[in-house]
Amino acid sequence: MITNAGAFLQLAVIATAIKLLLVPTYRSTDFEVHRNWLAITHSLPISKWYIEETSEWTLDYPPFFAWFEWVLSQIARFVDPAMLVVENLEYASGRTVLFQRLSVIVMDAVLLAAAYALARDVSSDDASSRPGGEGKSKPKKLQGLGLQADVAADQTTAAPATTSHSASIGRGHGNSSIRSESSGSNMRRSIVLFFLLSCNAGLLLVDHVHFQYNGVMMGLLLWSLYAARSGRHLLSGLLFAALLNLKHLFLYAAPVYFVYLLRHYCCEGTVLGPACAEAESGARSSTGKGSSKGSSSTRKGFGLGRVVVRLALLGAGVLAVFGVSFGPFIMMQQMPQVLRRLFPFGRGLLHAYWAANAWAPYAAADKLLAAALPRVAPWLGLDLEKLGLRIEPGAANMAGGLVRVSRFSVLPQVSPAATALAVLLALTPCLAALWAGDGRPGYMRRSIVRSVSYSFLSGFVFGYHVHEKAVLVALLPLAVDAVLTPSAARRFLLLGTAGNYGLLPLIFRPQEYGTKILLFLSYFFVSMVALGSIHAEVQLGPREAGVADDGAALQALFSPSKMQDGSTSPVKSGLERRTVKSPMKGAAVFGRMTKLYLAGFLAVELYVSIVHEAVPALRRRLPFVPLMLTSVYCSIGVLTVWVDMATEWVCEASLGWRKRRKH
Amino acid sequence: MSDLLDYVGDDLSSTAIIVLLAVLVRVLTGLSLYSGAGDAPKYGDYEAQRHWMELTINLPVRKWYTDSPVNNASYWPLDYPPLSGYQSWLCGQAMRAVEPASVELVKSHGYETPTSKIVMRWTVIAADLLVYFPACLAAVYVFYGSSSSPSALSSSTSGSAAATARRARVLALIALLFNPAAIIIDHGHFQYNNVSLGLTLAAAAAIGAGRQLLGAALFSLALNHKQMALFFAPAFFAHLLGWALHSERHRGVGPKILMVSKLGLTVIATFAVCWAPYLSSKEAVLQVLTRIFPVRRGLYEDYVANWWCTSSLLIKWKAKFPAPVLLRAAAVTTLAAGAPAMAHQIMGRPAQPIGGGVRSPTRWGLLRCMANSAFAFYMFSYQVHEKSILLPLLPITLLAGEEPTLAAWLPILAAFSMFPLLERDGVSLPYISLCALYGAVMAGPALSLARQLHRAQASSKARRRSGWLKQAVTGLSGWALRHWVVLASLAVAGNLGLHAARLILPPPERLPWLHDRAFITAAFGGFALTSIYLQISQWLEGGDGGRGPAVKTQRKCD
Repeated sequence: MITNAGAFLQLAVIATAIKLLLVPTYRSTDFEVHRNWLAITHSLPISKWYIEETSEWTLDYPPFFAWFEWVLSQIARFVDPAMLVVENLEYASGRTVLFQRLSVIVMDAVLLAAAYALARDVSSDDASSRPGGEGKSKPKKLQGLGLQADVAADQTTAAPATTSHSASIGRGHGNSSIRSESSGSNMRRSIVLFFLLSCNAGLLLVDHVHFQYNGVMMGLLLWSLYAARSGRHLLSGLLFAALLNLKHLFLYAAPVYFVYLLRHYCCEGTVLGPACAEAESGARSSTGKGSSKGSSSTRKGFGLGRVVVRLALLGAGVLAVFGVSFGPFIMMQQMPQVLRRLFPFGRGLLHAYWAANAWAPYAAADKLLAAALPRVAPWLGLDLEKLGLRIEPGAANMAGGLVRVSRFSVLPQVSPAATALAVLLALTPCLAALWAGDGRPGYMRRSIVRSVSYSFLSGFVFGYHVHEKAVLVALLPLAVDAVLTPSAARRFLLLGTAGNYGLLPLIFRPQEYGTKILLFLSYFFVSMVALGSIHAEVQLGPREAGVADDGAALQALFSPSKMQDGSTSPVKSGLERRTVKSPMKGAAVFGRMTKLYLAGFLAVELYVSIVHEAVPALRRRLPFVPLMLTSVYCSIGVLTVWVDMATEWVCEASLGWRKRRKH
Repeated sequence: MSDLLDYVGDDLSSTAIIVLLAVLVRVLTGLSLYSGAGDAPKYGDYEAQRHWMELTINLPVRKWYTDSPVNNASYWPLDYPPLSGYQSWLCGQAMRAVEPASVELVKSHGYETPTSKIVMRWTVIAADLLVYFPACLAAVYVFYGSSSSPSALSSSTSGSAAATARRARVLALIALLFNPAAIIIDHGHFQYNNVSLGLTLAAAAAIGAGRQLLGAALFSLALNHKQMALFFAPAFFAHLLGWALHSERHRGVGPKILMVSKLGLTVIATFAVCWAPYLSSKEAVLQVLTRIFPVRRGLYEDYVANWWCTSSLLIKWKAKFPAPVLLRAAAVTTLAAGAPAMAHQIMGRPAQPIGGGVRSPTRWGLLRCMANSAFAFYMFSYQVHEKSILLPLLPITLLAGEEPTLAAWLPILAAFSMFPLLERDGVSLPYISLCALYGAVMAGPALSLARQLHRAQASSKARRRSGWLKQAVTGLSGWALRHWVVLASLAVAGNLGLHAARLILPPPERLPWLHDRAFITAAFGGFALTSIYLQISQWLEGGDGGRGPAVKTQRKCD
């Protein structure tokens, strides 16, 4: 348990200090966007908010965000009233810049607080799962494939033996009790989680250099997840509804929230309050017919009534949130206009700079085909015209520096509906698994974060007109699992590296080059070492982790199989063989390949920022290559993580449903 | 108490991360403005350094220090010793490679483009990476030993001796690498203090490791980079002399004289190498010397938290006395203030337990003597800059494992004392965040380490053989540590109060310097207390196997 908040406070101050140092850096047009919104919300009546278009950066966030800007503008008034004039386009006085920058830094308190709450939660969570704990729930360390459940049980029973053994050979470090060891490692877990959430390099770059308010919204999301983990389902749902009204990007997680609330709030258990998630058991719900109302009404007669009450409560709450947000615009009959602003069509599948998702390789392949086919076709004796392909001469030229594709020239076009379908399809196994559960208590507590992260990742991978920044929304929740299970840690590192690297082109001035690279590198190294130290402990038992050097810790993280080769002393290798009993074989699809992939980033960076710049011929003839290479290379990592998670959900869903059928 | 440093080991990867973060912080500080940015026609220290690059790569070595139409004595003449010139030449080559226009003779005055600024900033970081960082790592290794415990990143052994040693090591490294005053002057204001400070640190490390000749050579290099390293000269002189006289390795008069002359020759040879281009004629040497030591400047510059400037509120030194008198007075007081520590080093330490004559002074004694002599110079010498506070900070930050609380707050106070300058440079924001960063990282761990050391001190050795002075200091420091949180909060509140007053209240018409005065007076109080404490601790140092007393003085209360 955490006795004091010293380390968290230190980390919070460090994060804030870094943000302060970033104040003089480059600001993207988003700075002007937000200044304009300050001006609009401050000086115009609500009826004009979504109509005003003096600036090209019209208000296109949902109403809660507009209100957020309105609140900020009440303070901005005292700082520099000139920034609140709609006609003052591109206005950026020193005080304005400082005010806007500081507003982001101050509002990040929401994120810090949420990170702290989650960090505490994770630590208490794990303490109870320890063999000596109250044992009210199974260990959350391994929540990978369903198969791993048995392994997890194995490991927990093996842990005490390991600990005592290694403590006895603990080289005079003092034979501290297992209990204090475990609380020490729990403390480390929480601190690492707090670090991962509060110092994310990508978030720092996007919020405090590029300029946006993602920190606040990520904070709200984390608060919602925290509420879900601690069994306060209604609160969690309402927070998420509020979040949706701040930024509609979060819509991708709506299906998961819908199923989660329906299943675990409305149709679940008997008592209200925190015990709800714990009370879940396979026996109670498995005999149900699978329809929403049947599942819990089998056991208790009045269950149905309770379901209706809760459904009404939830519906009323969500409707109230949306009503407060959109109500005024409905009253003013502006909804079509507001929706047009929120969901602008015709922006194209891809953003100017391709986000590192599934469409990046798709578009790259299209480019390559467009360039190659006209030359190769005659050789193969193909007639492109007959095949129905008409490649315009300029299609493969791509003279512009920006990689912009409005129409694919060879491959089929991708419509918004198709992307929506793809996202829903990707979500299906996750939703099915959520509904089925795994028959053990605390399922929701273990799965909610992972499922939300997965749904954002799916949205990022298949979504229409996705921004590269959206990867952060999937990445941050993943951190919660990363401190709990080694497989999630690997995913987190891979997604973090690929996702954050994909953000770097946003900050393109040479002045900030060192800043962005160093921020990225520092975050990568610190999180790698920190996560490595946690999970080395999980595998080797707390004491052994101290003896194993850091290299081994990292090795453990990246290539678990290598640990068994036993390059270390006989005593240790014996221990390892006992404890590292393939706790994560299922997820260890990478290892050497991951390392190779990560090293590849070095090559990409070398090409992008040195070779490409140094060779004029490359710059002239292939100006688009750096950005394309970056997004395609990053997309490999992102897609790997997505495939990994998706496979896991498919397995979990099939396992869950099989179990239900058995009962 | 749990703090972040519980989770930071001293193994390779943790050290690598600390170094990486140190570079990050420097790069981030470099994003801000610098001394004299866009302030034509004279600009500031940034332009001075750039101008030196322009001079050195365009003029032959012999002309560097000679007045000429292109090398005007009124426009940032090169007034540092030759090693600085060579370094400017190196950096100038880098600048020329990237942006030739930035170092064109005369035409480039006041040259400030974004790209040239990046290169300039990176030359300072490169100097850090090549000189200061290696010196820090070496010094921590020499003074605190290698990372013996393999308990990398493993906590919960606090209390054991190994954990204390590890914590001392990490603390010292962090203090050296994240010293806010040093970072903000080199990477914000813009200077290359890190080179001469790094060389000094390397010299101390070499001497600590028993390589006295190498140490003498390195310190001579430091002197040849920036004459300000003279602040440390008495310490190195006294320590090396004490070592030559008392070391077991050279018994008898013959070997002692031989050793002293070896040291002398090393110094002379190093100087000769650095000055080689100017040694052909006496005029050339004199030309360089008059540039380096401009006595025509005043007793102090702007607002310095030293004795002369602070007391000038009551006694108008500059008005009442002619410059030569002040020069002499400054020399005498400096010498007097530095003398006790020097004497301590030259006399060596009595061998323990009884009899056996005298042994050479310890390396910890050297560090304390360095701090004392640097403080003596800062407080009393002639023509002191506010930036000179960086010199006493160097040995004190290295002492962080021994004097944790002192090392935790003195760098912040130093940055505070320079605030009037920093505000003018437009680096207030980095000032705030670097101080907050340093305070957040250091304060908690430093206090717990100090308490640990104090407990060890009080329980074991102090009982047996200790004079009244030692007991008094131990008692006082025990009291200070017990009430540390209150004292520190009072001091921080005082500092913040002064900042708030500066921000909100405009100074009265007749006293436009009121706020600057308040700042340096407060800082002077802290410096004076520290300096007195260090003087005393120098004499308490040395009996017990090189571990100095783990105590600290009261914190300045504004």
